[in-house]
Amino acid sequence: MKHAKHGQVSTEIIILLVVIMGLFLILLTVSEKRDDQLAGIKKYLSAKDIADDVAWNINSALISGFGARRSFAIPAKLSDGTAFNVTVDGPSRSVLVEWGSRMYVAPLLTSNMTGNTTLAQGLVNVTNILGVIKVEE
Amino acid sequence: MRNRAQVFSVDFIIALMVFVVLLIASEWVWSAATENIYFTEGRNDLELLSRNAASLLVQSTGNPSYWNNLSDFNSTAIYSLGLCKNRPWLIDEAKVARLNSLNNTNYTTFKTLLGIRGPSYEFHLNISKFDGVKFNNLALIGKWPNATAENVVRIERMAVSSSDRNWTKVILLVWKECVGATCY
Repeated sequence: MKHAKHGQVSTEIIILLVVIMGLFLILLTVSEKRDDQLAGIKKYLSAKDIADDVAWNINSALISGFGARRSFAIPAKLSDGTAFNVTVDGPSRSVLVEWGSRMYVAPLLTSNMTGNTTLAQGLVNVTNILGVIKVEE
Repeated sequence: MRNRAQVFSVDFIIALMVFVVLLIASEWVWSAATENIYFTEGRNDLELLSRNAASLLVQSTGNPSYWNNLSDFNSTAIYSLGLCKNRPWLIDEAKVARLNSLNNTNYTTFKTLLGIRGPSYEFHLNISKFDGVKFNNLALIGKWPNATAENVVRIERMAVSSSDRNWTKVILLVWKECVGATCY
């Protein structure tokens, strides 16, 4: 009788442990998935912020008319420290921010542009010279 | 002995159910929060590009400024679009008439020139002039938002006509057409 009782308790404990471990495994998997998603959203929003800022300054210089000048800064990394590239592509009227295998595109209102097309970290000046937008670092 | 078995089975099953319910609830809250982020960002996107497009139309002449006289209406020949004659908020009716005549065949070019290029983004542009009593349409360009349209952004700008200095109203609607159940 005593032995039988011991046997029962052990089996129950083992089943309980297996179930608890299974639950923790599920919890960990879900939590890791959410962490990845959150990191992805943060990166996307940070890249979007930079692309929209560059596009807004260029569009604003265009709308403001001849002689309008805008200055803005490009950060070294995205908010989580990821490296990125900023390209101002006149012919496709786009500002592209690329990080890893992903990309965000902000629209431009003009294709008439000169100057730097690949922007690095630091201060950028945008000038409207008789309708031509000049981008320089 | 019977008590032990009860504790194991009933208590544990209840605890398990609570855990599963919490897990499902947290998953639901997470999905709703993520969707809300994308929805809000989509709305901000639409607001930003419609304001830019409306400002471009009423504050610039376009580049080249004689774009309305060009036989080719495409994004290669025209660097940027604008409706002003020679200064901001002075609308050139010849340019409005040219836009109106191009309406049916150049919707995609309009979208490119106005920077309305997000996924499933659509627009409608209404330009009307005040005759002393009411506003009469000079141009109706683009589509109308249908039942699946979400986040319709309406931007209104006032200017004056270059021909008779009457009030001219530019209304731009920009929205995202939804595909499927989700729309963000």
